[in-house]
Amino acid sequence: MKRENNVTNIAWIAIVVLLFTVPLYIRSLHWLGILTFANIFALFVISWDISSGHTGYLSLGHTFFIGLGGYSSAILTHHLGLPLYPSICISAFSSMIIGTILIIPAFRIRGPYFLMLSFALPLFLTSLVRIGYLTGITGGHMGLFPLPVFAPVPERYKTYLLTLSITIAFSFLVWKLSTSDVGFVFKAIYQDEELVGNLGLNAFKYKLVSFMISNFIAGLGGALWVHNIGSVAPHSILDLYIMVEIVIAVMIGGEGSIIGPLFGSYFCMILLEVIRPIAPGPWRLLVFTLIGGGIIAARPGGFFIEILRTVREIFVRRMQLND
Amino acid sequence: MTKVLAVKHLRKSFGNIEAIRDISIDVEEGDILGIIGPNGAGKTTLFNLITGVHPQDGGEILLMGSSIDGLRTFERVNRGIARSFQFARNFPSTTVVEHIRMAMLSGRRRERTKTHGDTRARAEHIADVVQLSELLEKLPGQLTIEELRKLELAMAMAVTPHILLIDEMFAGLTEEESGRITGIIRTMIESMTPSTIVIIDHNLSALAGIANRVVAIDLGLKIAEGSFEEVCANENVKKAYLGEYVQ
Repeated sequence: MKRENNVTNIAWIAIVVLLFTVPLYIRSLHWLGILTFANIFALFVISWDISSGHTGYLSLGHTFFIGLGGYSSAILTHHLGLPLYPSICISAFSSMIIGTILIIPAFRIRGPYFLMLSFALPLFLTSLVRIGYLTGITGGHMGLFPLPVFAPVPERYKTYLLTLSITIAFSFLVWKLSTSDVGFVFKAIYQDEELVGNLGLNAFKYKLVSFMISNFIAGLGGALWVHNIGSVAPHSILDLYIMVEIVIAVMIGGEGSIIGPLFGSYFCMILLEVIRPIAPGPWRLLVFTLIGGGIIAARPGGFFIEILRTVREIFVRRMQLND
Repeated sequence: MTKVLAVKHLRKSFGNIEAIRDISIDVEEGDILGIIGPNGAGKTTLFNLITGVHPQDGGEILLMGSSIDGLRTFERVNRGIARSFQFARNFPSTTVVEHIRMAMLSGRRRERTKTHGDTRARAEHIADVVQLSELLEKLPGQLTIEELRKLELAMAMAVTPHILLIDEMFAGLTEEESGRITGIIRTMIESMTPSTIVIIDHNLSALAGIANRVVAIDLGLKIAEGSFEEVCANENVKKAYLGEYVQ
């Protein structure tokens, strides 16, 4: 078992090294930009998976937490002149605190009721940023620009490496949490919340922890997103379609597994770009949804997590045969 | 003898229906108390009140001499009450050993002062006591009804309670399977995890083999209490089970 784990660890290290050396063999600034978006999108996806994917409190309001982080950092840097990195940290914490306070009352309900209530959150934020006397702060429909960016376009590899480092660090932490006793309880809440209470575990506390971590990472991702593109606007960060992409990435990857959705997020971002020339304009999202939906229907347990399990099983079997 | 559980003048109504009208029960350490009564007598409601699933309308519940009124279910479990359900409940995509480990997350707090053994080793020991050691990595969907019942007992044991409430554990089991479950309950009592048990069941022969005291309830009232033979011979119990016209 120890040898199998060592092989798995070596495989992961190889993947990480491969990702970090991407700027050496992909010189295209366009594709480096797409992969940078994929890094940040992966944060959106794993943050949704650790809350909704683990506890079963399925939310369609994740863009609210992403938007909180994005708008907080935009306002802090644009209006208050705060340096980039401190404002990103403050924004992640503000998304965690404000988002969690707002989501707590919704813990009393679950299933379709929670889903519908969560759906209202980004609509609320979209309306808020467009309110007349707040447009001076939020930029209204047009949003705020220009915002400080991590690096100029010709040095896009720096942004890629920065976002990749953050994504890998948080993915590792969230994966450790998911496979810990705490992660077990998150998944148990999904399966039978009442039974969790009957084992002496405070389900509310665990749900709170799950959403706090999720909101923090979503807020962090939101802040990275706006400083990657140098602007923030309701349509770029609060759009329902971002939510649809997150859910598709999680489902393609394998809900509740963290690693699967991580692969799913890169797959979705690359797929969206690959189909751009053949399906321009609104057709692109339609084709993407059809492909994503088809994969989910064919492999409802998660396409990527199944591949990863199969590859691991083949390796283990081969090692046993060699022994 | 220490009084582990004391239920005093408990009352509970659901709308116009009085499920529990006035029930008082004392359970002392080492007691194996059987609770019998026809369907709708209020047995499961009594367990639901004790475990905090429903708040009571009146009366008091004491655990180890302290009131647990107003506490939520998980808080009562942490005070030392464990429970199994009428229909075996579990986490469908969680293995047997993970079920036990999860239950230990609460039980461990109390257990930590007694043992410092490895969590996995203790989970395996519990699985061994309930005869599930060969099925550690199985999912609930791969288990028989008897094995699911054993899993419930394993989770209850992992919580390390003062008292275990068992709700119709023998339902749907053959005589042979009931015998094996009874054996496990006896082993649990001998190892003092827990030492006190309250069992609801319709299977009177299984109950007779394990309970040292029986309480009969009907229509939310206690109608008899005593040894198994005394309660079964009680006229009120006969009427409750078989009707008014039995000679």
